[in-house]
Amino acid sequence: QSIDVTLVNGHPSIFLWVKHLTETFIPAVNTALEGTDYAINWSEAYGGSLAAVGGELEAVEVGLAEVAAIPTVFMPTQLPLQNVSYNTPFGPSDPRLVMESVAMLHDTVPGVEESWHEYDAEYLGGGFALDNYVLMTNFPVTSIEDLEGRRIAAPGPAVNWLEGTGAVGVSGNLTTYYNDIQTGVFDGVIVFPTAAAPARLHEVAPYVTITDFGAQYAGTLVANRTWFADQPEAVQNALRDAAAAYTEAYLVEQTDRVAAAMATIASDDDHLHVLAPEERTRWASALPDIAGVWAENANGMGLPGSEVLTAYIDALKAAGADLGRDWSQR
Amino acid sequence: MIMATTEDLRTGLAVLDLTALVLDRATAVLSALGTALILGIMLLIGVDVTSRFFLGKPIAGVPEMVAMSILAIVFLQLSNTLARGKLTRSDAFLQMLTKRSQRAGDALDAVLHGAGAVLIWVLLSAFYPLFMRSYGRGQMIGTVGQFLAPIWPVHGIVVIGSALLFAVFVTRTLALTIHATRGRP
Amino acid sequence: MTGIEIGLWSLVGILGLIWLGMHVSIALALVSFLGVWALRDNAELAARLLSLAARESISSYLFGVVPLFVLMGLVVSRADIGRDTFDVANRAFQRLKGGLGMATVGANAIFAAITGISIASAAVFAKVAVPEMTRIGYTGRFASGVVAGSSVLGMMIPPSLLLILYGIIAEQSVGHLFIAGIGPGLALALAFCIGIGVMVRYFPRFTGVATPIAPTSLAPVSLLRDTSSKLLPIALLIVLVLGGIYGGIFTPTEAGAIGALGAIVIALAKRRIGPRTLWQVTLETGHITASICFLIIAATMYSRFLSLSGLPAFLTDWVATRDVGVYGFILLYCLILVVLGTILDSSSIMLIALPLVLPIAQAMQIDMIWFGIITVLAVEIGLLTPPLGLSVYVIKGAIDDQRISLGDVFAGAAPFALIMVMVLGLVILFPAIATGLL
Ligand code: NA
Ligand code: NA
Repeated sequence: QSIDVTLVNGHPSIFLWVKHLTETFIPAVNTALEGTDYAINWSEAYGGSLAAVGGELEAVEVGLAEVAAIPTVFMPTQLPLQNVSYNTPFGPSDPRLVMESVAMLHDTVPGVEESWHEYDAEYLGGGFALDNYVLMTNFPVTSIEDLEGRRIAAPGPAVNWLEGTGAVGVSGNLTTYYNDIQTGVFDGVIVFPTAAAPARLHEVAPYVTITDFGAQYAGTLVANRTWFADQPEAVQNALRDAAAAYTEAYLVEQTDRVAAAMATIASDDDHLHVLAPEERTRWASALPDIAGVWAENANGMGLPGSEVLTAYIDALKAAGADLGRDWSQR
Repeated sequence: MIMATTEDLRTGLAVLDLTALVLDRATAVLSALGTALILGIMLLIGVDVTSRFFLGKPIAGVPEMVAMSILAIVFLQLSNTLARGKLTRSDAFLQMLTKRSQRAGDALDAVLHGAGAVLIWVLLSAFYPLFMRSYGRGQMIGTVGQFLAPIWPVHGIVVIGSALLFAVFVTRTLALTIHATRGRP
Repeated sequence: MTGIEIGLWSLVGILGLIWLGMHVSIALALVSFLGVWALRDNAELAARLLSLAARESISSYLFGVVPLFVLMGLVVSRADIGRDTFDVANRAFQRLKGGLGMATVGANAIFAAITGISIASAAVFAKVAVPEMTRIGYTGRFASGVVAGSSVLGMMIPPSLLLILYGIIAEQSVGHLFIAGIGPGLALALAFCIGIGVMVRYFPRFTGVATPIAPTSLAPVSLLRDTSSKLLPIALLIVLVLGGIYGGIFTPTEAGAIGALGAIVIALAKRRIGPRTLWQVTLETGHITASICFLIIAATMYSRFLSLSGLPAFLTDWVATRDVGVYGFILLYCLILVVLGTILDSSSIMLIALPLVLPIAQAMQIDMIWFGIITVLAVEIGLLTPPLGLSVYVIKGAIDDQRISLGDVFAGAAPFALIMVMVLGLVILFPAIATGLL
């Protein structure tokens, strides 16, 4: 029996989390279904061909797609819980630890996995995390004093990471960073290396400061819940197992890509500065209570914001992560 | 008369002409709101740029507000654009047909406007649930700690704007059908 | 019917409906709706695709400033700033046949340094240049064609949104791409000027004949004063916008708002417009914006339907699997881009085609900067070709002149599309035009 499945993500296939949909997720499902009575007939819709970035969840909800890689990072108001890492900056720099911790939240904290049900989505597990965010500027940075009055572009949620530092945080997006830094509208940008390298940001912002803002949970795989419930168990299991395989393959290749990206954006020591631990702590302490405000907001939406915050930080601490600030302390 | 305005399409049927006129005024009101919104966006960006450059204090949420507003601007203006006969079309064939026979031209144009009405009805019926969802869920855009605004008013404008657009398509279809059957006065 | 066949039939449908006189955006949306319905055998699903496309396709900062670029163009035109500029240009170029057309190309090349999208150029110059060119005797067809053709300079001369998009997808230096865009951009401008000269001389029935303006009876001193007072407003505006962008005060996207504000202030100061006129102009801006953006929404619906049909991927894949050598590959690739350009918008084409061909281009060791310039140039030809030629639609919406039909604008743009093909050929034959400055 052949089952038609449309798989959607708004980014084009040059992005690693899209590449492994084709290279890992689909083959893993197909392999798992070999020898069963079922086979899946895939149509892949990437790069805005079916849904724009941030529109994937609605495409799944209305039934345009059966399975999607949801970039939760672009949906902070719809999926606040899944954005816990963006609201606890200066967390661990290891994407795997962040990935596993957020997966743990889905498994253990009541209400997290259920938060997908409002959108008729079934959480398949796993997903993708972005590598350790860094600061790239057209001037050298060794302490937060260097940021005074500088205009720094950052993706929406990361603008909060500049509050109280003296820098002017401006919400921006990857497609215009290069031009805007070149003309001087911005003096720098908060970005992750595997995006900075292909966008060649080091050409205009040659100073890389390893601030260790931390790796970030950025998305996961979901299926339309009504559709999923109708599927035979073999198909359900194949999708869940493939999500795990996808995550593993993604994390492995990402490690290689981060190393290559760092070599590209900071080719020599003159332009690479690792922020001293006490400076990092000072920066983190200067920030307002981002996590507290975020958790309250989620609580107000009837979601377990405070529980997620506490459980997440506890998990990171238990794993021995180097935290710039303990956000569970209010 | 191809890019006809509401006045050009008067049928002499009091009910239809009055409906068309009332609709015309309604679209003009929406259109005025959309026009004010354009000027508002211009000033907003101007203030944001000035405040960012000279005071180091950008206005939070400007990109989100601009991105939201354009959808509102378009759907506030769309029905009036159609009522003024300014929605882009290629009228060479219609003109040629009308020159030979006014009634044949009106008949074809009635069919074309009817297709518009059907399509907008399809769009409206599929968009309405989107509006209900964003309203029911109190869906916000922006970032906690920076800027938050509800998105449902914009979706509401899309619903109202397409409803009016649908109504304009329907009245024009009717007017053209009457012209096609009776001939123009 | 297979998806590919449905995709091909949809083309016939769109061409037919537009030709019959259906509103272009309605035709695109209707065919997309029926197409998805046929593909998925589910009308409700097809309707949902329309509604999501309506919500997502224009809701971005980039499209949010479209009305402001339109407004800037309308104010410049209504306040006679455009007319003054062209008076001076005509004076300077009056010895040249087709001087005003060449002036439009030149002005567009300068404006291209301000904007990153071609439709902004088209919106601004449709209102400024077309009335002036028709006033002195050129045909509406030729005048709108000149504006349509030169609007593509907005994308070749930096800043350019398409080059940025290519840079990110192909992992190439945006800075290098920008530099590489300058040569072809200028070559294009020069080719347009030569083309205008040739057309005016040898095809006067197509272009119309300009009545030379009466030789100025002004004394040299007052001529100088008149010229400078007519040039001052536009010069101020250019300094404001160019200075703002390259002085790091605002982004090319924000330039729409600043340019519109600047134009309004200048026009008010010159007492060329009052509050009432400003309101009327903004209202007109709204109508043009609604028309353009609804078209973009419909084009997005169509592009989503097409990619569901599998036709674009099929075509690109077909080229990718031919074993034809570097030049054969590039020629076939350009051919596909131009074909896709007839029905899809520029960025959709790049998002669909590039992931499929980049690995092949890299394997053939093609210079990726050169490849990017070729890609953008070929894709931009689509702005001028029917049935979906975005620049042409923007111009038709902006000039708002019943005497110039959509067909006229497409016909007027055709020679310029042809010139683009020739320049594309030159860039393919002589890569140095693009990469020479690097
Ligand atoms: Na440009
Ligand atoms: Na085209």
